[in-house]
Amino acid sequence: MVIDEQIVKDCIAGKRQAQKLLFETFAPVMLGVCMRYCHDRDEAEDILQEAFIKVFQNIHSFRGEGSLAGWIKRVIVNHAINYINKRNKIARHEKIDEIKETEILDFNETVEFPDEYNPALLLKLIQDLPEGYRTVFNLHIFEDYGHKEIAHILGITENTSKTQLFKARRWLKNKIEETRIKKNSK
Amino acid sequence: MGQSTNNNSGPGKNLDELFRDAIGRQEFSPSPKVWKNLNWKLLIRELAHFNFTNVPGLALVSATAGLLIIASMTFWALRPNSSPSTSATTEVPASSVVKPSIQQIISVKPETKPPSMAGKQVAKPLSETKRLTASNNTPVRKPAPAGLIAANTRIENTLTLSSEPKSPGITDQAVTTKRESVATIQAMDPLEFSSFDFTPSVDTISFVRSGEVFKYVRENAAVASFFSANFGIAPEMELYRSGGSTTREFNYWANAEFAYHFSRFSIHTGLGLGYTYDEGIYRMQYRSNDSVSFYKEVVGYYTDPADPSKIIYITRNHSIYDSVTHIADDRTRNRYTYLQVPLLLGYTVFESQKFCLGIEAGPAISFLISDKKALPYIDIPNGRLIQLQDNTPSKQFTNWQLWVKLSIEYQFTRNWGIVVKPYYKYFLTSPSQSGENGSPSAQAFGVDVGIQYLFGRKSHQK
Repeated sequence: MVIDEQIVKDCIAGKRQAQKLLFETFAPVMLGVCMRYCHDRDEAEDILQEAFIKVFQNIHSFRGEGSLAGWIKRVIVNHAINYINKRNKIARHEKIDEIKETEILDFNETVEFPDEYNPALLLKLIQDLPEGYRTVFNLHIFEDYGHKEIAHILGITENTSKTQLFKARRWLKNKIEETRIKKNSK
Repeated sequence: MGQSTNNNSGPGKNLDELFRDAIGRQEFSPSPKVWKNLNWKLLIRELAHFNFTNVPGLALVSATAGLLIIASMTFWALRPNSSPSTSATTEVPASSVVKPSIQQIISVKPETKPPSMAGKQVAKPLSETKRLTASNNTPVRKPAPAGLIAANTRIENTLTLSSEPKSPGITDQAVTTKRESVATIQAMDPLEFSSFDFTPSVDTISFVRSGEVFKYVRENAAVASFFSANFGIAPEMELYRSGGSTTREFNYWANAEFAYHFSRFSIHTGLGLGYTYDEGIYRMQYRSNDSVSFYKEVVGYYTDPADPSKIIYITRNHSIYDSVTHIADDRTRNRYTYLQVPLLLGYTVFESQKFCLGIEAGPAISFLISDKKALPYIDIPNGRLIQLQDNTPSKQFTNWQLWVKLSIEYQFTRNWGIVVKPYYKYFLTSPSQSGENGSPSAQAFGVDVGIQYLFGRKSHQK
């Protein structure tokens, strides 16, 4: 993913060939990001498409202070979250099903995954996560956001963020266990 | 319960790492339709916000030159290939000419009245002894509606003199014929004798009709006064010069113009509704918490089942964030609507049956009637805005201009025509308020293209 400065300048100037090159370079990785936030590929491609329009609209604000890939990824993630927010599908479980702090601490994060080299299956598990769990899980695990930041981005409290993350992990672990049991029983 | 740390010990893999390693860098090839749709949306967006500044100056100059060349070639190709008429009969369209029947052939005994009786003495009297008769192939115009007498012509007739005694019957007949001839001439279209052609036209036309010598005298090359209205659109390029640099803006006008024409002169006024835009220039200073590093925290350990002498530590990464200040520029698009009122004096340089070439000049005033300023795009995740600086130059509410227009008209029906007016504007007061480099000087170039309707003017075209 080497994009030189000239291509960025050409994208700012609106040159289509440069825009296409930028798209072809980053689209595969960014589609992977979008896939984690959506239920299916069609939805992910919609988000990718809209997010790249934002990328081209605002690429002039990229100051070169970090990697271009990181900047694009941030735009993609922001757009994905906005997209989800618009659909209003983020579950708000702040008052229900309170999780005790000790319950979170006792959670054993270690899992035995029988087919850990099957990324498609793992992606499917993430896509099957409830919307709210999935967003928090993605932001925390893949984008390295802390709970404070997640709370700010999603407009929830830090405790909610922690709870959602715990539930996501527990949900995933249960699913993995089920998969493992099914496989062993065969 | 009651454990103070996450219990990650035991065989298997940490859940987070499992997902991060397996799908953290997963790639998928997007389907071709994604770029296709994206390309289409970008194209639509570009068209909706088309900016001529992306077009090279050479291309703009070439396009303008090409248009002028095509317009010139069209003009010369369609230019009427007529020479000025020197006689009434050659101007008469075939459809309006009838041959007199044998009964209409008359023999006129000219009156003995002195020539001065019919107004000015303008023609040299023919031989007194000569007896003139109307030729049997003399064209006779069909009677036309009355009231079309040329405003700029004076008809004089001189009867040939004869020494022969006149008989009363013949005299009456001659007088009647003379009146008919005068009426016929009066019915002729004034433009037949007063069209403004490149070739020099004669001011005096003499001809013989029904035994009489008539003379047309064109006193002035003026036509009757009339009104006209035209509606057009005008793309315009505006140039601002300030502090040694020149910036361009593009305006689009819809104009309704009314004019009063008298002789070769005209007075033009009307209303124009214009749309223009410029760039909003913003500088943002914001501070965000950015991940600058990370450290590993040991959250557990266990002895390696394969080698009990080894201890395996379970760690997790913690990002380190710091507050970093950023400066970013953002450019938006501000939209403005203007109303303009010109007052121009026009002069017709050349006029033929279908074409008219003229110039117009005069002052105009523009009013800013609405402005829509777009807000900058501020997307600062995990940060806060410190300062937002607006460097967009403000627009004046009114500004005065001097206009010069070249008017090219083509009448394709009796009253309807198209008009193309390339023009130049010089701004007496700048549309933008003074900035750091003082008030910018401005000028504009444009082409007004529209349709024109002439009220009351009797065009030569049938």
